[in-house]
Amino acid sequence: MDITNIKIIAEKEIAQAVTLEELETLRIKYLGKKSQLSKVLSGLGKLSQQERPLVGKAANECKIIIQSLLEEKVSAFKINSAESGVDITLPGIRKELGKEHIISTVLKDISDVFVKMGFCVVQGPEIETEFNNFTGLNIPLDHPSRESFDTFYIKTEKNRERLLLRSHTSPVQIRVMRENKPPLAVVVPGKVYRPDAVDASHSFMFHQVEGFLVDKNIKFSDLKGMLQKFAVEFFGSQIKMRFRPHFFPFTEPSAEADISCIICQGRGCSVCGRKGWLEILGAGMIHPNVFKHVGYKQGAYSGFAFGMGVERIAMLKYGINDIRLFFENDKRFLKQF
Amino acid sequence: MKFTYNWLKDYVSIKVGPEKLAEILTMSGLEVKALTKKADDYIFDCEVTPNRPDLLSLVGIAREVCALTGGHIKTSLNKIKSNIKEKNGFQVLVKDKTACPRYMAVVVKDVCVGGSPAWLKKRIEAIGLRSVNNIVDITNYSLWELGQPIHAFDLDKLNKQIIVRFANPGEKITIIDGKTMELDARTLLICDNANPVAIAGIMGGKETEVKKETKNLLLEFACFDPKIIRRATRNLGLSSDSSYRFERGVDLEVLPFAAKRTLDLIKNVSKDCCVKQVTDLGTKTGYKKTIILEPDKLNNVLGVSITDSKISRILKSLGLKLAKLENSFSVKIPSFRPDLSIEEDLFEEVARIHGYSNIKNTQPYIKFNSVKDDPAENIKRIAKQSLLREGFFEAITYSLLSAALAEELGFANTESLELLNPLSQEASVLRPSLLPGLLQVVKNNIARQNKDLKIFEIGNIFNKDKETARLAFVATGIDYSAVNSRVNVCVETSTLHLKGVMENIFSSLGIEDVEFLPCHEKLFHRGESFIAKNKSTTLAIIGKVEKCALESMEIKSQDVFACEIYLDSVKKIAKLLSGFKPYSQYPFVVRDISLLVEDKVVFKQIISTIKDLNILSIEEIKLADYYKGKHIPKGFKGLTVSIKYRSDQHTLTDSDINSMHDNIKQALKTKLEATFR
Repeated sequence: MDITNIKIIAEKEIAQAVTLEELETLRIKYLGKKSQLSKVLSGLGKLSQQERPLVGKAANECKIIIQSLLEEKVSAFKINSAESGVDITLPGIRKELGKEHIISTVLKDISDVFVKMGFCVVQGPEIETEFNNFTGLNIPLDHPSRESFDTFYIKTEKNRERLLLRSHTSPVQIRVMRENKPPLAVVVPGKVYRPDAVDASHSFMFHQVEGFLVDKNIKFSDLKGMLQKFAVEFFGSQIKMRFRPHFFPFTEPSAEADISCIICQGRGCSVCGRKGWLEILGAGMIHPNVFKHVGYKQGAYSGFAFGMGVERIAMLKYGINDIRLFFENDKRFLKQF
Repeated sequence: MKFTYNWLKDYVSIKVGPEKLAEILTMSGLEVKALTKKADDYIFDCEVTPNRPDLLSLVGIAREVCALTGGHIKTSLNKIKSNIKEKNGFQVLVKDKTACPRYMAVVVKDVCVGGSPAWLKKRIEAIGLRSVNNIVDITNYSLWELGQPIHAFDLDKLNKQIIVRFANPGEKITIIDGKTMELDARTLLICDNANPVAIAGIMGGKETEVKKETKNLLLEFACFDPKIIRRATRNLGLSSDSSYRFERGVDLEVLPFAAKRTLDLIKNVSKDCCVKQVTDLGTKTGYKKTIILEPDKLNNVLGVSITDSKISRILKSLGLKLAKLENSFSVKIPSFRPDLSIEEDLFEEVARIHGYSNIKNTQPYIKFNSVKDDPAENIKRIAKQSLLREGFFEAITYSLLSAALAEELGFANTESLELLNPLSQEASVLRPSLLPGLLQVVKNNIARQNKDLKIFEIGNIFNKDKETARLAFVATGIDYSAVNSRVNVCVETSTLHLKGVMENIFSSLGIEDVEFLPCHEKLFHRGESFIAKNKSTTLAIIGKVEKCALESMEIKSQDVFACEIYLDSVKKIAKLLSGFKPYSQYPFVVRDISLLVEDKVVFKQIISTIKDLNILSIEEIKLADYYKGKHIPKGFKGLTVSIKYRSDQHTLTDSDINSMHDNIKQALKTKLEATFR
């Protein structure tokens, strides 16, 4: 048997050994006086001048390798047996740490993308005036979304104005713009409310992230560029984004943005309805009437705004199939993320 | 809005296949939700945005297709013209011109009501409607074609005239599907001389519907105020293809075209019929507007460079009329596009047809913001980190809860904010505290065998005066954190446990000096609940949740401990920056004192007795042991206090320490009647 074969077989047998006794037997077999290697080494004298150093070197190397393999294995056995003092396979003494709610994490992750670009975070109140939630945002008095089917109203009024639970995070646009002059780059993560009966995909309370950038000469192409960057940062570099015209009273032109389906990479699956695209956010250039309502001079500024539903994004990203799970707060759910 | 590929081809030459068309429409703002192949045709199901009532008709969609694919409108469409003149016909009385700005009534005699011809039936069924009879099917067909809802009455069942008026409160009508509806005074009705014959714009009455026996018709082409129709559909829970269009607004200039087209179609299926009388009341002109569009501004806002000729071509292809001015266009808006009222609306039109995807992405230059981050967010973040380290899980609960529960847990309903229109009684008031929601989480988890829980929530609470931020945490069962699962040392959660968590939060926010007063909230157990204060400001309430409260939540088998922190108060006194304090270079010595005091003596008294001595070399005082019961006389408790001595001037000698230690013992003895063991 040549030296290479000895090595291969020895390695295999050592790997298979499960007791210290077996390892001792192997040591005698491969490194003992009667082993093949010993025979090779003791027979070196019989070899020719050229062969002798080559064979000698190979045999010695083989011996060293087998020796170290055996030692490694033996010490591994010793660590695992109680002999050395600690059974390191016992569970570590660790403190169970708490976890942030997945919605908080996603809210923060979305906001952080924009914060890195220079946005700051503002939170508005959940109880809003009708002006901030609707009128200021160019939503006409007779618009269906103002009806009690679509917005929760509060029994108490304030200064003769109806109060409501905000139905989107956009009123924060009005609050911030009334108090501040551009440049403005703001993200608004928060809770919103709509009277939808609760089922697997509806909830009367959910979360949105709103964002807006207002300055001189902000363009629609900037809006596209920035949201494309968001998609890549948040969902990954392989993500494609497309923009479709849409309608919102507070933006003009308006758009809806889709991302290539994160489940099927755009090939078409049940999640994206075989379309390959997932609707992810609404956006547009802030409507001149909104600027008018906050007291900005006509034509002085331009800007864009966007908004997205956080539960939907979390459900897509983490494969959660029922919106109610977020608010049930079962410990087994909270522990997972 | 549903339509089929072949049907649309009647109005426009389509240069692309159905799949491609669906994509083009979707990318131009008319989202095709589903495209289904059916026999030799394709059915498109689109979502029309509320600003585009014109797209609720095949002609409107055909116009869009022309603009997008460069086809042209087929001549058959142009033929739809009114030859109907206003004359004295069937008597119509419109009581409210705002509610009903235009009303056309056409009398058709000697019709033959029967089954629809195959082509008609096929199209009506393809878009998901049920074929009823030739007349009803034609009204639907014509509606789909031009977007104008049409109602056909059996003329012989009508009593003399048509009156358009609001209902008398409590007035009733039996509608086509057999249901009897009771109406309120804000519902607009179509009536004859005696009775209501239709709910305007929504549904016709049973009595006057067109049946096989019908010989003569009164066709209604009308225009109603969208607000009135919308309110009525919501109020009655009743809607139809007609109300869907009226709610969004129909083009009142289309009425005579629709009338002509409908009559042509009726003549087609009922050869011997004849038009007798045509009444046309109200406004004849619809939406009108001229907008000045500056191409420079358009290119600037969109971030593109589209030529004047392309802008002009796009707008013309949409049916708008343009006149070139010096540096701008004057754009005349037709009545079917009431959504176009300002220059920006036209920017969107150009961008839409040009294609959003043809607008190259650019990177905005973001300047320093003029707004600042809210410091309260920083407080929340620090507190949250502290809780996560303590092994608490974050929960998010609904901000709405049942009024009954709020009251049962001791939140007076005079303070709480109620919804005007709650979805259910379970969610009818705004939460006055985070604790009811968290207790509900505890209840649900216990019901699912998750008995050991530590959870928290950060969120806003609401009462009459304002909306404020709170942080609350609750714990129940066994606390496994810091416990080796193998060894199974169990620590039951307790008030002091939660106090520790609260202290860690406070110390991470630089808040010391917290005093405790007894708490008398109904939610908490008397004697084991406290208000944490800093000077006169309440920072938190903490303690054991009252048994009755737990029982009302159906938590029966275990104690629950809770704490709610008032973040607005905390924000005012938080000190997030603490400077470096130099520390001593000399060694320390720890000495214990084991003492026996009466039960009424509290730990804080022991600490302040020691502190009052102002001994500079005390670095730390710790409670090392606390015991009652066996070996301790009744009415007393035993404590061991560890005192760490260290000077920052020199190494303390035995005699230094002895003298300080004896002083302390002496003070404890005189002030607290402590005995030593």
